[in-house]
Amino acid sequence: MFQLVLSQWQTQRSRWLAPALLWLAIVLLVVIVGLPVLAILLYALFPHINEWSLAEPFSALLPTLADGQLLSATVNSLRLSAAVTLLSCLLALPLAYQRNRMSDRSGRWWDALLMVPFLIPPYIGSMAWMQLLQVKGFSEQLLGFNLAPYLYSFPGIVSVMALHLFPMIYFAASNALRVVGHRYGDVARVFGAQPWQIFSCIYLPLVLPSLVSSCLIVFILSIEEFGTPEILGNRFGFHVIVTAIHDKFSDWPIDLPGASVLSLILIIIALAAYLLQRHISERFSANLDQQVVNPPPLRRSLLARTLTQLLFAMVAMLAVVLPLLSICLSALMNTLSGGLHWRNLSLQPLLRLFDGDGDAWAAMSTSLSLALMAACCTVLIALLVAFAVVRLRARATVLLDFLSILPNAIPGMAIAVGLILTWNQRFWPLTPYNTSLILLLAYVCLMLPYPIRMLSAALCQLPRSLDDAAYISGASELTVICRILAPLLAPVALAAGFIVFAISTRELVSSIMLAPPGVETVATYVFHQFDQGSINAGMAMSLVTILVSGSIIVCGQRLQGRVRP
Amino acid sequence: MKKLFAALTVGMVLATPAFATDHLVVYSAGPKPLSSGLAKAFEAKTGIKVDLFEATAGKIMARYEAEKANPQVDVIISAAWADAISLDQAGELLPYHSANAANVPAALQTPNYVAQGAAALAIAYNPKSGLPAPTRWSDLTQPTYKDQVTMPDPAKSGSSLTLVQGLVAKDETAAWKLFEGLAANQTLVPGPNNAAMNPVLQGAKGVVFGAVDYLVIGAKAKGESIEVVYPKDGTVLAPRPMMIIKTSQHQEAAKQFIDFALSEEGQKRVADEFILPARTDIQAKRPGWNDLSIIDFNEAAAAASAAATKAKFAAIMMK
Amino acid sequence: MSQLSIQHLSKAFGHTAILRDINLEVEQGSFLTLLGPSGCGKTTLLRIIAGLEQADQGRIQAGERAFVDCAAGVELPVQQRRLGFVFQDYGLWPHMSVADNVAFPLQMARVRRHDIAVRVREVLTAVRLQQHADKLPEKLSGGQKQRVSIARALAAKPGLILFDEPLSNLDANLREELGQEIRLLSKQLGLTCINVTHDRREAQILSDQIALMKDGLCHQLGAPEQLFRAPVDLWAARFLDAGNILPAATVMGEPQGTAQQVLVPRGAFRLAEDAPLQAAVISSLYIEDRYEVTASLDGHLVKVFTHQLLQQGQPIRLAVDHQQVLSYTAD
Repeated sequence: MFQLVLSQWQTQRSRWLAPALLWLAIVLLVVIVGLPVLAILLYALFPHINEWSLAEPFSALLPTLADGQLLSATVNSLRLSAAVTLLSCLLALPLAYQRNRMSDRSGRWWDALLMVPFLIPPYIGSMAWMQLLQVKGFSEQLLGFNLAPYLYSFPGIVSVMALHLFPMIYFAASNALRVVGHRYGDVARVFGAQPWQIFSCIYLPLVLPSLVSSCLIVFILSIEEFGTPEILGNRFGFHVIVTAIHDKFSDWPIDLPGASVLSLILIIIALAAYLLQRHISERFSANLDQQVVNPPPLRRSLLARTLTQLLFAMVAMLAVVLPLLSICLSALMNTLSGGLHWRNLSLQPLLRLFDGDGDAWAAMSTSLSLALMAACCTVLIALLVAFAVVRLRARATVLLDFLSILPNAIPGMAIAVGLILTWNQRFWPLTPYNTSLILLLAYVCLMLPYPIRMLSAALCQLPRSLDDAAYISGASELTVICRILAPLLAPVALAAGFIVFAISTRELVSSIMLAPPGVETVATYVFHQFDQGSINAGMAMSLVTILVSGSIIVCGQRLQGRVRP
Repeated sequence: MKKLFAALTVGMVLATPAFATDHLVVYSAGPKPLSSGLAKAFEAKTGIKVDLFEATAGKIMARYEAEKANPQVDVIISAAWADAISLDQAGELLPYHSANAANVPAALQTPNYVAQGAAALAIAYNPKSGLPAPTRWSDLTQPTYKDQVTMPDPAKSGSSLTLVQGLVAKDETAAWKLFEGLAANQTLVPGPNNAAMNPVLQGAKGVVFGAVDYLVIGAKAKGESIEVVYPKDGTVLAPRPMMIIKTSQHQEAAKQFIDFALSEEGQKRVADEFILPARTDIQAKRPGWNDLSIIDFNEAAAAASAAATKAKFAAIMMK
Repeated sequence: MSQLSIQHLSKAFGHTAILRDINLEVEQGSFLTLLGPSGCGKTTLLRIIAGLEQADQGRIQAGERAFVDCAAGVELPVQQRRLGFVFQDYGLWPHMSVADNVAFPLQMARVRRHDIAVRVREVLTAVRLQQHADKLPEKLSGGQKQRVSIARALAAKPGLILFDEPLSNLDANLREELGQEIRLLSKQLGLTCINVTHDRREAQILSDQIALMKDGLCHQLGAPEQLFRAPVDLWAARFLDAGNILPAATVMGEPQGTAQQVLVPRGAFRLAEDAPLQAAVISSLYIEDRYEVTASLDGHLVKVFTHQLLQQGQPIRLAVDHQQVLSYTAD
């Protein structure tokens, strides 16, 4: 009755497919991430490599490293990132824990709301906080108090950054907690553990690997973040490595080799953080038994439910509502000096965006389509890389894994220089440089770490027997990826895609360096508005973009609700 | 989905013009309406297509540096005169003297580059702040202005650096004493020009030391509560150099572009942005060549010691 | 003719030898269990047979086909071995329905769509799950999930089915029941099966042959009754829990040649008034249809079956059926 059709070709295929996939992953990462990073390294060592000359090797190293302020900037960077990571954890963990104890319906609303911080560019967010809390800011005008001394201080800058970055940990931790389920906690409850003991002794160690992995992202993002330290830190003389790098780019005389040398320091810090994360993950990686029990819905008292909702409402107020409100008010103000006064508020700045030359529309559609493509590309590449790293486990995969975190550690500005050095060469028969594709390449390069981290973490939690069962059934690696892993990872892939989409819609520094002539993105548009002193127009554009990409994400989430198995 | 994706990719590749050979490539520092208006008018007049890349002076130079293996740009308009000095010293500029530069003051042109216009560094203050209107730079060291002054950071703003250099060149001891006075008065040095001006507009601070005048005048024209004061003890000009890069494949078109920028039409566009036009015979829409008392100094010499100047300034302000 | 032949198979991870020179033959239609404590290499051996891991040395021949021949560099990819595999954790794809799970191997083998539907119904009927075809695996009980897994393994009519502790995730009653079912199916369909377990009960239920493994070696091979009646040494006797292990002197009264320890199966002890051995009852449990009595004999614990209830501390006298006693030199 059966004809087992196994052609010679198929026999051959299964031999070369796994190495081919591994090589494809390596080649993709090397081309997208490795080459620009290599270019930066070379530039740090050979300051004339941009002219294809190896003259004066290492001459940029000493003068740059001998800078007296570098040490304090490095210490500040580490201090800031550590504090931001810690505070983000403190914010995210209780929320993630409560998220898994509330009904999925209201949970999904909070999830959507907590995506918003990803949409707010850090520099816009910081400006919003400044408008809100500074001397004679909105709070003083409306309520009669200002928090300027707090805002322009180390705790202030940490709070602003943590409120912006904690969703990264929140989403990772709440996903991990969902996989763990309630049963281990129930066991502990039986043995008389208090809720906080259950959390700290049971759930925390179980979700530690994915928690640490998302902490790594937050740590490295804070090390790399420019907007907030630039805007808030400058106010009280707080300098970090990234602001030092940007100083080398910002005005005459620009010093690209020096900036590359400073980028090396960031790469080294990132490497150290990465190794620490690996160490911790390996120590705590626990295999959950795969017994998936559908938990009965938790019965919770009205008080507990109300408290949970209040907790979420409070955090959402701080992380989403207040910044958005401030952006909104700034966008509606006719003049900055006019203050919050009815006569000074109008819809003009918003309406002006969409009449006239249509530049705003063009910028928005460019940004949205680039962001969409970046999301698709990164998720596909990340699926492949995660498969190679987690399942194929060749020796090269550690390199692959580290390569995939690098773009987060290097300031977008330096990556942009690396991309120019790489792709603006005569020897390429075809180059994306000076087309919109270079922006796509830059976004993919900068955003790859998110989906790779998220998908690798999720893949680690899928039992290997699912793959093995398919191989034994005669499936090739490609079939396993497409028919088994991709559908199972779809929710995580979608979430990762949203994050990439959200961040890409607002990517500034690489956009401004790499945009081909005549192409504007939302961020460059906003930047040019600020540059001309039109704060309200810039804020209006930011607001509209946040709303548009936000609603795209909400639609996506609804879709996700439908595809979730 | 895949089809859409492919269509988008192909579409974007086709829609974006790669630099074709008959295009003139111009990198220009803001303000954007000036550079894009100039480019469009030039296209209309000559039929030569202009590919315009707009960013801050620093980003433009960074892109130029990074592209050196395969240079793309023909004409650079920067906001920092020192950029032109460095490129000239490196021998990377094409000598050109435009016939339209006849009325440009000698200080604003060299055989290899010429100014498009200039900004003056001034004091800007918010009348709503209730502070008395300052008249000299040193006024801002008085106790009345304590905690009310901001200043763009010379490390992040070329124009602010020019001001520091100019004041130091005029009278070194007095200049450093002035900055020490500013530091003692809790002067805030928050970053580039906008970062210094915004707190003053918003009312958190009262006065900008070393504001770029056309930005202030532009803000005032939009209805902001801000006034510009040119100190009696002299102001410093920050000219915007225009230069043709030696590797340019379109030198004729580039020369035409410089001519156009210095033409009456081109200069009027400069004036429209409240920038001081390079040509003295063009009516400025702001205090003009005759209204300003300008501190002249050797910018090339100042550029040579710029690092030391910046470091000394930072050391004083950090105290 | 043997269906599966394993010759001189070795495998090491780093410097740790996992398998050392394994030789096994599995007859067509027979059921072999690899039994051993954890770390003995049984699971690695199973995964090497399946092609999920690579051997360092040796050959595996399945009928006409060479699965592995390290000397000749032959390594048939897992996809081409045409095996069935039943996982301890079921390995069911949670996003596919029961029917889709079962159909997957058939789709991979490019079977025509109509034939797939027919075959899926057939195997689901064989495991009595035809009603659940459209459900997602998460809606099924543990036993049902494992039956789906078995159905999937059977679907493409593989020559060989491998089981990786198929019953260990199930509760005792279900284990017995599903074990019988697997045994029956394998006999009905004439399947050649290899099972891995550390549970001797599971091995007893399923197997025609048991290979007892220790430290990467095949320690003893034989039919279940052979193994349990005559463990090759004290370690095997202990691992199989084949009976009471006692000093020879305690049981026989005097040393028996070189033998220092003897194995006395539980059934070889009998309660008798005039018997020579005196013991005291420690506990007595009613299991199935008799009492399992634990008693202390010269300070050694012994287990004995009786049909009468004994009180704790009650002295008893035990007689030994010397025919059943095996002697060992100490290990």
